[in-house]
Amino acid sequence: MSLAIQGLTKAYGGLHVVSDVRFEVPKGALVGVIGPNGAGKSTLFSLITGFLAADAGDVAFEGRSLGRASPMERARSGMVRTFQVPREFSHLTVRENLMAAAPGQAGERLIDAFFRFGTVKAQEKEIAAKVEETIAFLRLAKVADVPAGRLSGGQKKLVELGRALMTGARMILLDEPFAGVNPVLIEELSVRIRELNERGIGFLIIEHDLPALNKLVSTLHVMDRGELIASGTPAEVLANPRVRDAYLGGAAA
Amino acid sequence: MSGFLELAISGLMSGLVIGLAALALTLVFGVARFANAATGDFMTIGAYAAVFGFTATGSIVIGGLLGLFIGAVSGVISYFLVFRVLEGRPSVSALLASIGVGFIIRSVLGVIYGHGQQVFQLPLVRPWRYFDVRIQPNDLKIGATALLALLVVFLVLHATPIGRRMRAVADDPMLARVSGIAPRKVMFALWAMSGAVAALAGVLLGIRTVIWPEMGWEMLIPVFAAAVLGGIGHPVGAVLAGVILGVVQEIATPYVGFTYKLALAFIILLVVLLVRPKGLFGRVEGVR
Repeated sequence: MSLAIQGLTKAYGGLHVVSDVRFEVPKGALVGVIGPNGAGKSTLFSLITGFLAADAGDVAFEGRSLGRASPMERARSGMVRTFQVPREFSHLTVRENLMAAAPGQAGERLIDAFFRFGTVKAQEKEIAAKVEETIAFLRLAKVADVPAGRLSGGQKKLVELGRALMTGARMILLDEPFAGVNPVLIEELSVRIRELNERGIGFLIIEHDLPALNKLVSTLHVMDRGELIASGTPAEVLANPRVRDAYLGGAAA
Repeated sequence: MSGFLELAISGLMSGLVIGLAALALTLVFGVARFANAATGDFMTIGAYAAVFGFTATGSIVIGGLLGLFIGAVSGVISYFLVFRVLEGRPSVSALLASIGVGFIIRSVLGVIYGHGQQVFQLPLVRPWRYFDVRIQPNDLKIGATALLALLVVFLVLHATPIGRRMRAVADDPMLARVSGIAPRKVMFALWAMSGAVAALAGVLLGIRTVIWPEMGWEMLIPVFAAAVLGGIGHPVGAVLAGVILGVVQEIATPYVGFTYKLALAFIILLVVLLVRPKGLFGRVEGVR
């Protein structure tokens, strides 16, 4: 089991935003989380990635309990998130954005830049090669030297994905990857996600665009008012009357 | 005319010193998000360490390097003892703390060295003459040293992994953390670099003028003015603004008098804040 969500709970005042949510993401799986606005999906992501401290429950990644590990420790353990509104190092070029995310050993200390020049240079070469590979994979070559702040929303999502890849993540959590992205780029993103999944990277995806998500994932979990109300294959879940009521009914109203 | 040129050259030199100190200030601001009022006192520490090294060895190069090293160490120590503890608090806490750090540094230097003046006992050198303009060979060396230091800082920022990480943290600290960038190492490097750069500014200032416990503190207004004029958090802007400020101050001296030199920096600071609060180089954001 790659990622196990074990009874995560978060309340603000008396309001349970996430309440006792538990499910698992098998190694190398593509899993989606859907739910109406305010269902607690983004909060769940923040709890999983350590942005918020859970009131109760735990997360285990690859069999290791994460407890109170910081967002950075979680990222370094191989589980990285993206953001609903894409975040990027806006003044760094796309290439630098990706390079910055590469886990470093040498070259992380100032002193290394002067006294371990050879080691740093060799490692930079290695990272640069991986960055070029990632840029080519994400078809970002044309904008590689553009400051990331100037990219379109869809391109920024690709950069986010690229940054997650550069960290060497084995599990990537995507927060609404298709929101505000044009249909052509949605297709493009889906293809990339599927290819990465075939290489063994697991994905947990929050998404509103159900048709696009259904084509992608093998398992869907549905949240409503902080609770997990249904889990199964997309077809099973969408046939579930409770889901139709909470989510699709709500959307139609 | 030659007098004017000599003033301009002298202004360029003091401008480079201001620019270096403004760079130290703006580096910290870009990443740690507060104006470090102890920047001037890191200059003073650097100058005293350099005098110590120079007196002990007779070599200004060794003295200067000792100054840089002590400056870097002071930056790192103040980070670990004070500014690290205040992370996550409003930036005004860090600003006030930095005023305190500066005060402590001045007091300690005052206790050790007294409040008298010290100088680098450098041999007098006859100035070079080009046409009618006198140029001090020492000024040229100071200028070259400042430019070299700037080059090194920009290379570190733009061509090394740690520099890239510094700029990433300056840009979006949260995103940096979730990308697996360890903030501690970045902050360590940042404070070491900022301390060393400030110390170098102090050493150069000490060579051109005199060394006393308040020398850096007295420079703080022009240094702030340069950092604001250059667009806070903008390294290139800070240096260019420092040079502009230095030249303007020197050239204006015959007209407004020596006493009002500082007032001039203050006026520039006020005008920039009123007219173009983002400074010459645009956005009020991090290092880039």
